[in-house]
Amino acid sequence: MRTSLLFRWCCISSALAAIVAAASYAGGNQDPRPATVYGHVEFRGFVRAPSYRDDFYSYRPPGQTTREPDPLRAIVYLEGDNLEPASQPPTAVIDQKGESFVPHILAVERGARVSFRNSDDIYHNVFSFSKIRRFDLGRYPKGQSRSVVFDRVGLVRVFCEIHSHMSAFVLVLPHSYFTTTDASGSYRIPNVPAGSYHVVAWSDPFRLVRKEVRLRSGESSELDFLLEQTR
Amino acid sequence: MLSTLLGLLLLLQAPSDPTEDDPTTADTAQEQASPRYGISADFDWSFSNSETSPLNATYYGDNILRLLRVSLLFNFRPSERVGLYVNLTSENGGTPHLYGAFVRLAPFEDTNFWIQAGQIPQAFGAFPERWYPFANSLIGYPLMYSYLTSLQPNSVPAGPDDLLSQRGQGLSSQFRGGYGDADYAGMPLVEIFQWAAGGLGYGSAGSFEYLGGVTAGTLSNPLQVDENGGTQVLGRVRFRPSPALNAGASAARGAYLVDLAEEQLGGRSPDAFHQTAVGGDFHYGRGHLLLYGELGWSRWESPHIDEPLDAVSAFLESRYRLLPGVYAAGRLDRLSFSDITARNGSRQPWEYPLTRLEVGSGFSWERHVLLKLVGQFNWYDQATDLDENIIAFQMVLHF
Repeated sequence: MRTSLLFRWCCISSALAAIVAAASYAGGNQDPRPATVYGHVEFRGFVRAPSYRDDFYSYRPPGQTTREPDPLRAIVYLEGDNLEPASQPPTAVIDQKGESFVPHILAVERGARVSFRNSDDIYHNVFSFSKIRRFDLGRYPKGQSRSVVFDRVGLVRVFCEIHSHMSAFVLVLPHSYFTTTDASGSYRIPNVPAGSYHVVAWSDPFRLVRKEVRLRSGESSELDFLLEQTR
Repeated sequence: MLSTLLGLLLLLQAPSDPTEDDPTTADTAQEQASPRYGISADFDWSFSNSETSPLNATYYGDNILRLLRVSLLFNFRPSERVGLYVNLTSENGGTPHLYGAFVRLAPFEDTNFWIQAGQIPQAFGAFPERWYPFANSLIGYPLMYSYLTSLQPNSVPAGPDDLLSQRGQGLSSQFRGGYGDADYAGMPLVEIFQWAAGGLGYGSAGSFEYLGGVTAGTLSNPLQVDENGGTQVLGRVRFRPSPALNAGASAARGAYLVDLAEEQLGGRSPDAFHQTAVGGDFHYGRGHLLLYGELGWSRWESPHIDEPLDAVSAFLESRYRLLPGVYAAGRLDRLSFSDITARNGSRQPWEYPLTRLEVGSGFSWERHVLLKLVGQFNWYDQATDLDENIIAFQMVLHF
């Protein structure tokens, strides 16, 4: 009797384990070993200095902006169904120095707070009329910051009301699987669940490029991009 | 003509630098793009319930509150220390005319000193830096920069009574023996719709900025060519104790009458009669609040009136941003004139003093577009029949 009960319990347990294992295999993405996608982004085109509106009516001497221009960078991010958002997106910073937003493009996860710091001796007035996030931070001096929470996914264009040549982009994404290329154009997105995705690379003023990739658990996949100027 | 201007703008908005075929790194490409150009356009259309509004007339006889204006601004900087600038403007669909064309250059490598020469904007006071519609929170202009007195550059009053008889007639004043049918309207304290030929040097040292130079004509009668043998000398300083606060002072002196008036001057030369002006201004901005204030005094010498003809104007203006893209603004403005003695012995101001209040709001849903709605209320101290209360709307496109 006892042997029979034990046997039955073992059979049921085995069957349940087999069902769970089969379900896990059918899901295909539950392998705990994450994947990595990495590569290089190259820019093609004549990157013109931005057309600018010089202050036609002012006799104020131009500021001594000796800051070297930042190297071009691209945002690389994944698109896919099984990319979970982080529990608490980190705060990001856009600095205002040398009458420029630094960085010029920034990717954040939905819900992230972006702090706009003023490092110039003059006032700036950050604002955006984007439908994703409309705000106006007013004028504030050097050393101070004002922040904005971006709680909708999309692209937000940011300007300074006082200096019309200043602009930046905040790309709000639904998850944290994104990165920005380094000065040499290289990027790396680790800890990605295995699966099929689109990998997207974008910068301003370049055309967005989207490529498909299948990431296998525990493996690294290389994917390079060539971004062409939009105009 | 308007379509020609817009067509020209579209043509010029095309990139001037062809895309290179060979892939290149961004850093190299950015260095190659060193010469910079800028093309921008301002389009503004104003409409009001006042068709002619003598209190809002421009030098060209247009009504500021009923105006269709297209301005194209070109600038080209072959290097960081040289710039070329041109402003071409059409009003009410008319032939575009050259508002300004000048060169800016920094002759010394290690200093922040610049020279600007050509047909140049006014350098007196602070308002001329923000007079274009996108920067002007309201639609009208301060009285100091827009009210046309009866004084003209080509025609002089025969005496105090002649001048007093033309008070409030700045758009079409006619003195006895003058040239009332000439192309001149009366003169404001500072004319901003016409720019003068001249040269200025300006720079900064710490928290101070300075400016000095010479132009043809005067503040109230800027000239593109020398029409009176005189030269205006002007200077300006600005102090910035903090990023929020600017305080400035300006002064100018020059001959305002032109050669055409010579036969009315009793054998004296037009360059013997001067306009002298001094002014002070401040600007404060912090958070969502902007405050502006200016005070100006001007004196004209007139050949057949022994007493000086003085005018004093002051205004206080503020703008507060209520929401992103929405602001409220207001300007309280006062213009008064010195007394002169009429033939009957009475003392009267040589123009009618007046007060103006302009309040309104602006709305932008896109950064290149601005809509304004204002109410402008003008009260004369004496000639109340000339009072004007106006509602005006303006649409501004700025690219």
